[in-house]
Formats: sequence, C-alpha cells, structure tokens
Amino acid sequence: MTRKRLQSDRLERKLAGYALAGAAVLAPGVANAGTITSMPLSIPVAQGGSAGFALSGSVDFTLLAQQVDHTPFGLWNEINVTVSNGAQTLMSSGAVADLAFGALIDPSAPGVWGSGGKLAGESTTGGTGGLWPTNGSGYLGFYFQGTDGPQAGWAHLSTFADTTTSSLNIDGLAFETRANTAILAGDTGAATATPEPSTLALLAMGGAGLIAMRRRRSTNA
Amino acid sequence: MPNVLLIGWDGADWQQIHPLLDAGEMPNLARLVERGVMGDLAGLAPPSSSLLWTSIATGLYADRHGVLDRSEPDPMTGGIRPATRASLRAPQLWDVLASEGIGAQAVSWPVTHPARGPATCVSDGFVHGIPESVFPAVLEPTLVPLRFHPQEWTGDELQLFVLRWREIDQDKDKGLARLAVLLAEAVSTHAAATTLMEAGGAEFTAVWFGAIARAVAEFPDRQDEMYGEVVSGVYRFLDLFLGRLLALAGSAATVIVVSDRAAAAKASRAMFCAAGPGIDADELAFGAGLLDIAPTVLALFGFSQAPGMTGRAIPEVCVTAPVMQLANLAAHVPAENAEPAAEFDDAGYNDTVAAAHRVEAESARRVRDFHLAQVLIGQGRITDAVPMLERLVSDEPLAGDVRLYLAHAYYQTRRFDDCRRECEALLADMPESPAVPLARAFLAIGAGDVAAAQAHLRSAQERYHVAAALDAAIGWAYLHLRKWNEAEAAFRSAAASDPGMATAWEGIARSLLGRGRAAEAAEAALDAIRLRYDFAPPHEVLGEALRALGRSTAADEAFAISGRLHGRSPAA
Repeated sequence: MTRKRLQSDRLERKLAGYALAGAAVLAPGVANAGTITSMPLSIPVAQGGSAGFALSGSVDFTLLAQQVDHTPFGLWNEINVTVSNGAQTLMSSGAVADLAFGALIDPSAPGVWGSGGKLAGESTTGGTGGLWPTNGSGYLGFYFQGTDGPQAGWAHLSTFADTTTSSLNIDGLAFETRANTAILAGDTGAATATPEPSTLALLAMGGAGLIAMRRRRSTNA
Repeated sequence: MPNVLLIGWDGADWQQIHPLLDAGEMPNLARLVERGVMGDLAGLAPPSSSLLWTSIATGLYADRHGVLDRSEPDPMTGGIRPATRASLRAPQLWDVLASEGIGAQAVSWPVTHPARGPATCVSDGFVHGIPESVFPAVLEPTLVPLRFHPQEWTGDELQLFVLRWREIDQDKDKGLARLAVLLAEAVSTHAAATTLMEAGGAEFTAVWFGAIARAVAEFPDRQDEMYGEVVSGVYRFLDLFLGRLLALAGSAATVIVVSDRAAAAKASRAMFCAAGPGIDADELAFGAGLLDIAPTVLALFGFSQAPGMTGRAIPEVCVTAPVMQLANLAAHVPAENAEPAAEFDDAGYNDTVAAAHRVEAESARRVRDFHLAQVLIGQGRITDAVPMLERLVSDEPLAGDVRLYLAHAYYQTRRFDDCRRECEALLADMPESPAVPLARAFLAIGAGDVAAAQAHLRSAQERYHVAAALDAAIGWAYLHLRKWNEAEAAFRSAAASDPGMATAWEGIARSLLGRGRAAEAAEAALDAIRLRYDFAPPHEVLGEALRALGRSTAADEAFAISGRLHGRSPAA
C-alpha cells in the first residue's frame, strides 16, 4: 500500500508558482511592482564558443564552453564563467554555485561572492569537477555594477561536459532593476495574485532572507 | 558521517495535511513523502506538549525525563514558571550526540531554556527575547538580531492568512495580533536554524515549530468566516520553511518530520515522515511511536539506544543495525522510577512563600502529579499510579477527573469494592460533576447491568467527546462480564474511530482469545504491537494466544518481552 502522486506535471507547475508566490493562498491583491527585467532566451554555446552579457553597458560576464589544458592533470572539457567590470558570481565553497530555483541572490550578502570560474567539467580521462552537473541545469547567481550600485540577477543554464566535448545552453536571464536588492533564482517578476509575494519567499530563505527583507524595507521607506 | 535533520511540528496531523498535499499546497512535504516513508506515530498520555516533546527528545517516558507539565516551581518566587532545563532528569538527544563528539544543534525545542551545552542550542526562550537563550554565547551577536518581531508584519502579509483582515476591529478583536505573534516566533526559529545550518559544522540539527498547535488553539473553527483559513495557511507557511531546510540539509541527509499529537483532533496519534539514504521511496511505515524517534536518530549515527529507552529504531528509517554503544553510559542513565519531587517541603518554602504564589504552585504541583499518574497508567503501571491518585483525591476531593481516574484504576486492578466506594463517594460529594455518568457506568458494570452501563457511557460521550476511549471502556466492561462478542464489537468501534489506538486492538485480541480464536487473537495482538511496541499488555496477550496455539517457544519469547517492558503482569 503506497501513496502515489498523480499528475506530476501539474504539481511541478504548481511548485514553480508556489515558490514565487510564497503561499498558495491566492488572495487577490496588488501585483508585483515590475522591478525585474526578464529575458527568455535559448542561446546554445558549443565548445570553443562563448556568450557575453553587457547588462551595465559593458560586458559584465562571459560564459564559455572550452577545452582547457590543466597540465599535469590533462585536458578538461569545461563550462566556465568570467567576470569583468566589477561583476561577481555567487560562490559556494570556492566554486561557482549551482543554485536551485528560488535561491536567494543578495548583492549585499557578505562572503559569498567571487570572480567566477568553472561551473562543470570533465577531463578526457573521465574525472569530473565543478559544482554544476555535467548533464543538467541550474541557476547562476551574479551581480553587475549598475548606475546606483550592484544589481542582482540570475541566468538559467543547461550544462554538458564529457570526455570529448562541452557545451551549454543559456535558457533565460533576469535581473533586478533596483540596486542593492535581492532577487530569487528563477523569479521573472511575473505578476502574481498575492501582495508582495517575495516577502514570504524571502523569509522562507531564513536568516539571510530576513536581513534582505529588512534591507529592502529600509531602502523603500 | 551521517547528516540528520529532525523537524518538530507541534500538533501537526495527517488528517489536516492530506487535503493540502492533494491540492499541491505543501509541495516540499510532498517531495519528502515521495522520497521516503510516512506514517502515524502512536502517541502518549497526557497530551501535554512540553511532556511529549521531551519524550521525543529523550526517548523516555515522563516519569524518567522529569518534565511533567509546561510549568515548574519557581525557586525565586515560590510560584511557577515555564518548564526549564531544571526539570530535566535525562539528557536530550542533541546533548547525547554532542557528548559522543558529533556536531549537534537544537533550535527552539521545548524545555531547552536556559541554553547550555554541550550541543549548540537556541533555546525555547529565544523567540521570547529571554536572555541566556543562545549557547555558545559567541553566537548571540549573529542570532539575536534575527529575532522577528510581530510588529514587522504588514497587513498585506497577514492577508495571506486572514483575507478580510481590513474588516477587523483590532481594538476589540485581538486575533490578528495573536496570529502575528505565533508567525513571528516561527520566523525567528527558522532564521536562527537556517543561519546555524548555513554555517555548517553540525551533523545533527533539531528544529521545533509551535505554530500549528498555537494556530489550532487560537483559531479552532475552520468554518469561521474571518479566521477559518489560518490553520491551513500556517501549514503552508511551515512547508515553505521546510523547503529551505531541506535544501540546506542536502540530498544526502536523512530528514525526519514529526509531531507530538494531533492537536485539532485532540487525538493521541502523531504524524511522521522520513527520507534519506537507504530509505525506500513513497512507502508507509507502521508501528512507530513517539519513543522511537530518539533511538532512531541514535541508530542513524550508529549508536544503540541508551538504557531506559523503551522504544526502538524505526526499521523503515534505519536500514543498518547500530553497532556502537554510547561511550558515557552513566551520563545517560535516567533516574529510576522518579517520584514527583516534593519541592516545597524539601526546599522549606512552607513558611516563607506568599499565599498567592503558594496556591498557584500547589495547583501546578497537583497537575504535574496527575500527569505523572497518567504517564504510569500509559505504561500499564496502574498499580503504581493508584497511591498517587489516592493522594491527589485526598488533597483535592472535588477534582472529578482525578476521582474518575482513581475509580477506573481501581477497576483495572480488580479492586471492585474500592471502585464502587469511590464512585459512590463521587456521586454523593459531586452530584453535578461531569464525571457522574462515568461513575454510574462503573457502578452498573460492577452490578453486572451492562445495558445500564452502556447507557451511562453514551451519556458521558456527549459531554467528553472521546468516542474511541468510551467505546474501549465499554469493551473492557464487556470483557469483565465475559461477553466476548459484544466486547469485540465495542473495541472494533474504538479502533474505527482511532486507528492508532493500540489498546483497542489489545481488547480485540482478548475478545477473540476468550472465544477460543487464538490465531485471530494473535494477529490482533500483533496489530496492537505494531502500533505500540513499547506497551507491555499486547505482548502478554500474544503470548497467551501463541500458547493456546501450542507454540510454546514463541509464547515464551512474547512473555519475556512483556516482562522486560513491564516487569509485572498488567491488569486486564
């Protein structure tokens, strides 16, 4: 006797909406204020190629699929991100973080930002490296230097690496138009039926989200 | 090294959760259920939150861990204060693990104030802003600012719980304020827990949320036009938190979510689910109880359970048998047969305490003693409970509930003359007491008038609203009269009302055994054991059934287990 879940696709869709809205109590109310710029994309990058993003007006970060010689450790097929113009990427344990949907990206959070690096890679002899999957997807957290300060954003990436090649697909990107304001990975700023839904989502992130919420309120006060 | 996350949801109930899961409104819990096992936990009496959560955290009955109520004597005033670590007579799980060199931390768990080591601790005083609520103190600058204040809520956010909040006259209706407080406490707990988990270093984390039981108590009417959605909203709110906690624990962690009782149903059953390495996906688990949680967590770290623990590691969660013994056993041995401490007499407060404090303190002591009697009865130690109940009745003759427990205890220990005397005294002293119908029922049973007993019990049911317990009481009455068919019917009715009631299945087993249906009786006894392994009487009934089947070796084993759990033969 087991408990079986029906219609998993519908559930996944509800999960996505629920994570953004912060609650399933769909009370009618004020829609999201539209401070997020969102770009649905589908940009393939084969090995040897790169894609740069100039959100501040100059190139802020570049995603590369490349083979790198890490002598004496051999050749590696990798996905890397480089930053410039004062941009930073969200890190975890010294490597570029592979964020889950809804993860908090707060430009003012201390100690979690870095200058990019390897997302995923596999050597020609089969070893793997990086926090990202060699055949999967995730969210890259970043901020770039806007006019009034750092602006947080995310890029949804599908990464692939094996012993012979590497590639990625850039599936989407969004960023906050307000400086020093946190964003959640995957948040496109779509209108929801819940007033200030990101407040509960920020609190759901825990201590960091609570601090971000308070900072947002003091900024908007 | 294993990584274990234990989450407590006070008062959570599968019956309230299932509709939310079906509607997709608790996606994080749904994922946990799909990845692992879920089931009911057999509960304990009395339904005191501090008592039950300490039983979960220690793996011990309350007579051993010492927390008998939410209050304890206050040595400063002579009055009472919320129960603190001063009441503890046994270590909680996180301190046991920390003593074995395992990084452990606990957040907001009941009866952890003031915060002390060896484990990292954010006590249950933290959400109330009480000093000494963080251990080690070096964490205070980081954690204290994370205390969320009720005034930080906006109306728009509370609208998610109370849609028409703008219509509330908050000068007259304090519901929103109470909601703001209970939600703020949950946010504070979550903020502290996530901050500790993000810092890393702990292999075991225990986090406790009281919001569900508080919401059920403050806003019990699900049909209320204004506040009817609060309880569901709180479940969804805690599910949001669960998602973050699961992400921080990581996919390699074993996560256990438990409650202590079904607060809304006022039922003793509790909920649990668990997922992690080696745990089968999307399965049901049977037979677990509150006292099994601590042994389960210890087993996940490879430790056999501490002496005094009568529960066992839940087999669906612990796929590998533990092989290590706790290194410092002496530190973990609980006090044997702890009697309620005569704090006032020992401390010499009789001559110094103010009269008003003395009254409340005495009242609180009686509550703790009554709870202790119920704890003993729950273990089948009815003979031990009788003198305690007699003392309570002597102190407060007009406590109808206590007198009824005493009468029932006399009945269960076959002291029928004492039972009759107690019931007659109750009827004479308190003719208007709500306990009168039950007392009349006992007298009718003693006189062999089962029909009259049944009528009185049905009358009592209208007042007490505990159908399963009364059906079981009727069943015991029929058993006494050796009316096996009627007894079985009554016990099956009890089991239908409360599927987690182990004593109902024990009664079914006894009824079947009385009719010579030993094989069916053995099955029913095993059903009772699956619900509550640590309860001795069903093991004894199983032994009797197996002996009737000629399986003497197996019968001897069942009797041995009964003896080990109980130490004496229970009264039927």
